[in-house]
Amino acid sequence: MNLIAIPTRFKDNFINIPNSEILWTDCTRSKTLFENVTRCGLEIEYALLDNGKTILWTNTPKYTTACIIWDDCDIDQFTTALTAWEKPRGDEIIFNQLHMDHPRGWAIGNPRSIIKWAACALTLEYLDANCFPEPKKQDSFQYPTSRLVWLAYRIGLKVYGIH
Amino acid sequence: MAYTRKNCVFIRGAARTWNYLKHNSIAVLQEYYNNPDFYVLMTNNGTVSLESLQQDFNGVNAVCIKLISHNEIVPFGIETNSTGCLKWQDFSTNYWRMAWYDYVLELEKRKYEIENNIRYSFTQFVRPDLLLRAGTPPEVDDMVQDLHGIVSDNVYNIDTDSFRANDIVYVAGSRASTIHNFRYFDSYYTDGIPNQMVIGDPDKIAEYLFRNHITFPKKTFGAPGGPFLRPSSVEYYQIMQGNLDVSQLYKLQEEWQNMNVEQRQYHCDKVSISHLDYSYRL
Repeated sequence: MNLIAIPTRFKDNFINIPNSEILWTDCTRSKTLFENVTRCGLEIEYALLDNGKTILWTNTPKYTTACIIWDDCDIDQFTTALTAWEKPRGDEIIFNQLHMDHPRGWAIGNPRSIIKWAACALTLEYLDANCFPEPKKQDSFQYPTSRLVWLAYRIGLKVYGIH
Repeated sequence: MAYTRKNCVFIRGAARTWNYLKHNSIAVLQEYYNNPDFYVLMTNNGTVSLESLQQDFNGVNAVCIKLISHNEIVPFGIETNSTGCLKWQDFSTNYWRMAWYDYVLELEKRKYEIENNIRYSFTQFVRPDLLLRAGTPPEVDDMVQDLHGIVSDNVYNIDTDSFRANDIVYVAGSRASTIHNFRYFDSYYTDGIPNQMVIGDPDKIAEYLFRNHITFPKKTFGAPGGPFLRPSSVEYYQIMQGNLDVSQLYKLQEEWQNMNVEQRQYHCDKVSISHLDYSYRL
């Protein structure tokens, strides 16, 4: 079973993703893309708690994959990727695109890697403002999603792109 | 972006001698971090209650106060007190318990940050049974670097003689604390990855930090820390409060380490501390 967190503004776009439970996340108050991702991650974390315990450390976990979608994306491509990466290992994360010239719209991974990565995304706000070289000259849409990939490497995950 | 930068403190673990130290601990941390947010989680062994903790933190910014039953949190169903483990899954219950506590508080922390437009610069992790003393304030430069996010992957350790972080007291920058708080979900256990060689006491978190690229900075600052206050030291502490000889506390600590179960339980009873607060190590 897949656990997918999606901001509510995409409610009309994602009607039927097989074998998946969708968590509609209210991101209307988010100021940045990174906060969107962290909010979605939090939603997944709450879904993984059962009466104050985690349901992740069991022999047969209910959810084998977690996903966060933060932008418009090709649904067919996304569902194909979901099927292909049915059971990612605990430290694996998959983006639709790794190349910096192209934006990313979603990430798929083991629930454990997704929640850790999404939690750390919140700290990217300061990197965005202060550390990346001349961010203002770059396309404001594409560049921040490259930081999300950079972060995944930085926190020790194994990062894949389907392209 | 218009975020408020603050610091926060995680106080977590078995309450132990907390009831005798609470006024000092809260005052020291309040002053050092300039009114930080407190996140408190203690084991529900009977030494403290939710009401008593709420009363303790009355008047300071306590964002979260929780009690958790001591047998709810072992991820692998393993009960072991072994030391010098070579595999992650052999790490002691104490390691996973503290990891779970940190994760629970991390969840609250992030929720609070998002909902209140706050971003924490530093998180200090402390145990409830430490007699905290004021540390050396960090250089302004440290704070600035952390705001930029460059050194926020570093864990500042009060024990600068050692290359290892211990489980007693440490401070982490924003991202480092988040990564660290996720160690409960460490992915190297069940995923078919060959066991990682880890050396040393299972209470030590150093191996986790290294594997996650969290390294120590050249510059360290002395965050509030201090010696343990054991049940057998409470009487001395109460008598000498204004004129405390810390070396004597270390001496009493050594005596405690050499006591048998009955002696320890006698001292716990004397100062109304639950036996469960210490029984894991006996």
